[in-house]
Amino acid sequence: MNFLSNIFYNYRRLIKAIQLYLILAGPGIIVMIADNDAGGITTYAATGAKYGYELIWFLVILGPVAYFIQEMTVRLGAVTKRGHAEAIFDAFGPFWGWFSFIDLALVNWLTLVTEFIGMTAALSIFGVPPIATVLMVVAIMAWMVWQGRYWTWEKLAIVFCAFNLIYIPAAFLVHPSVPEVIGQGIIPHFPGGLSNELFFFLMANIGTTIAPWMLFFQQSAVVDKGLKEKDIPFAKLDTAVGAAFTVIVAIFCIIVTGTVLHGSGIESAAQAAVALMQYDKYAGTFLAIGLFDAGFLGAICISLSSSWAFGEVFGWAHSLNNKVKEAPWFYACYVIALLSAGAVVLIPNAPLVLITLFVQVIAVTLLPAALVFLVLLLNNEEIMGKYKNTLLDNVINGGIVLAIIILSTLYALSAIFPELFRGA
Amino acid sequence: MIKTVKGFFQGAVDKVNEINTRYEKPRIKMTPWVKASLFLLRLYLIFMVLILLYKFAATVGSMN
Repeated sequence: MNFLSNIFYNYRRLIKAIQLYLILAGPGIIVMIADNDAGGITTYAATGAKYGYELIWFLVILGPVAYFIQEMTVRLGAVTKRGHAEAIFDAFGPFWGWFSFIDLALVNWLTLVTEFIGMTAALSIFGVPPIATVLMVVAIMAWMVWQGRYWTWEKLAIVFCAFNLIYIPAAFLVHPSVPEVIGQGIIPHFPGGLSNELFFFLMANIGTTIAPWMLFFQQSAVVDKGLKEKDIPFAKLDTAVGAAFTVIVAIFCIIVTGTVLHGSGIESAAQAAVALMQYDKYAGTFLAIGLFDAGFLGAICISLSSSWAFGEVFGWAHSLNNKVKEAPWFYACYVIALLSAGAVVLIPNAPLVLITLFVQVIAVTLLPAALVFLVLLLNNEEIMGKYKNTLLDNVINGGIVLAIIILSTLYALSAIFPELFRGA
Repeated sequence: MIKTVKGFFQGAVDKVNEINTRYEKPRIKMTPWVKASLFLLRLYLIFMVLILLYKFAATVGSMN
């Protein structure tokens, strides 16, 4: 009896702790789950279809990498009370400020286009015309910020984050062999040797895990939420939980396509959803819903990260706690970004593949710069005080940043000159 | 109409100048480590831009 009451007590404690976490959660969990955006889901689906379970280990490694990078923006935002764009202007002057700002605005807008590509492709599977998808998405996103409260927006975003977990039941529906998943996926190895194609897939997975908009978004969101130095431990926990969910979702997405579509040459998540429907109607439907949700989450965060950056640099009111009439330019940026990116997808014969490739290359030019600025800012005692990077932080983060710069440069080169690595 | 457009662009230029003045003096202390990092970053970006320009020129050349 005592044993049962102990179990019940611990169960109630756990439920209470989860409820409390959900009340306080964000923005770490949101940015991390939104990291699995339409481009990310497409990459995971293609990775699973090409290599089965054999690259799961790589995603497990990428989880902590994303955490360590994002954790720095939490500290920077909580200590300086400034968004990333403003922090770069303030610390490095107008040249680097304008460079980062213009690059961010461009890459965010192009990435937003790719989110709309994912969302329209996902809903077109259910017969929804692209124009209806674009209008519906813009309307829902405008409604989310219309409330004039950061907290309300954040909780609505967390609801959409929950839909990202749809890949977990989808994986159970396709009945993967657990011993095979563990046997093939956990031990690090390069299936078929480190070929050019494998390198491209590895880089694509890195590119979807660490993106420039994530740095700008999380720092601005930390400031907008009003997090202070005392909140840093919880915000780090929130980011770690988000990183864990990102990896879990990515792994389950790979399991879905790796189980059913391995060797089928699938190149996009929408294609995978259609193919999967022939095997299991519900699994394919879940994949399509997940793709829409991924694009939706990505679009929410990316459009906000741009609006925050514009507000910070131009000195406009730029908080989700402001009503529309109090921060008209901030909300105008948000809606214009969404509408213009959505409109591109509706253009007949728009060069969508070229846009996707261009996003990768432009993002790569911004990512090293943003990471270098981040590490330099985090090492400045005058700015960060006792929250500056420790030696251990610098060893871990410095190593990650250096590796990302080298690998992302190679990725950009392989995207620009595909023939350069051919036959490697 | 022309006056409105001119006024808009003048306003934008003034705003950019105001931002440039506000952030004129970088707050971060320019230690050798910071200087070296920013110098390497400039080299990296120049390299990337040159590669993109080369690719653009090569693509246009092959189309003609």
